[in-house]
Amino acid sequence: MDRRAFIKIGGALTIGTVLGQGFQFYQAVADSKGEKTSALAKNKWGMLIDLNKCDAGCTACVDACRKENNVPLFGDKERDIHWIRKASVKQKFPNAREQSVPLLCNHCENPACVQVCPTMASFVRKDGIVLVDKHRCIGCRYCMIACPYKARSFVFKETHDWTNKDVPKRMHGVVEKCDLCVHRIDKGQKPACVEACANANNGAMVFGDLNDPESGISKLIANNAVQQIRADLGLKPKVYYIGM
Amino acid sequence: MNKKPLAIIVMAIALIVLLSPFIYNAFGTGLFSKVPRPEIKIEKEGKCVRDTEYMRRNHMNILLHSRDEAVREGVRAKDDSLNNCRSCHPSRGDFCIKCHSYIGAKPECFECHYYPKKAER
Repeated sequence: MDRRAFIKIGGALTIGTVLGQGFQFYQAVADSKGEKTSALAKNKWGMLIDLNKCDAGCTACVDACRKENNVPLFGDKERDIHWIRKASVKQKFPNAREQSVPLLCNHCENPACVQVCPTMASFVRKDGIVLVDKHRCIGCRYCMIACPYKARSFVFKETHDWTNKDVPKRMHGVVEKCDLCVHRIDKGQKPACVEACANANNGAMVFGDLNDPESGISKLIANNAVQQIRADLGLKPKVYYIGM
Repeated sequence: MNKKPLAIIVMAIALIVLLSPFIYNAFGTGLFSKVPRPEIKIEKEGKCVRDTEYMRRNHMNILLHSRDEAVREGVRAKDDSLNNCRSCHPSRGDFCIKCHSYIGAKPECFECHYYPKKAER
């Protein structure tokens, strides 16, 4: 065999091996039938919280979130994980009223956490939800430093309570945060906190599509004096507050 | 001094040591018996989402691919989800673990995803 023939055969074998495998895999994935749903770019999910309706003593949203997403409380302030928490806010002048503000991930349009993530584990989904791919996260915690809202928590240890088995737990060594109950959104439901708030007869939390001008949340934003937390940072947060 | 016989003996011993794993696996009874192949119990008989042969080789590719699509794109393919596996193979102990321990694979799926070792009734 001369050199030319040898290279020809070798090249053909290499191409065949690579393409064959790839094609086989592609075919298997393309063959997949059955029900499928997908996040759509036309949606832009956001949340509005009416602080006038939010009761300072009520923790329905926090409890529902912990139950729905298996968010543990270890009773150790430095290890506890918060997806949504209630902070008490008071202005500095005398006789100022104290407000209880639910704080969660703002699902920014220009998220600082996504920019700094070295593994692209943090990302923005097509419908505007900022997510952490826990399969990919290496737990470097850059995102926790970058986030001005302190929305992210590091999983120092695993939880053993598994209240909702449809939602996975997290292994230690990843960063997690509010995902707007993305598994529920994909089923066409509202986030657990919003539902719990409505069930507690407060109805302070409204969830909806910011891209749809006819949605409840868009109308409320258009007709009220709404505020975002630290809008000056330019991250374009998608959680709005009334009466802050 | 002629060292040839010694060298041959040492080489023979070395060859036997090197080939010992193959010899171990090749012979049948007693100490050298094979590890029995895992027997998989399928609770709900019927057709899998793909051919059985295909699933044996490629289930991990399907799971990985649909995992990334589900997390990143929000594509929830019902067929390719772990929950759907569970509908026919309710017990991980009788299904996943049997083959995985036979070949020594340790996937980390179930550190976080729910799939009980014993079927729930």
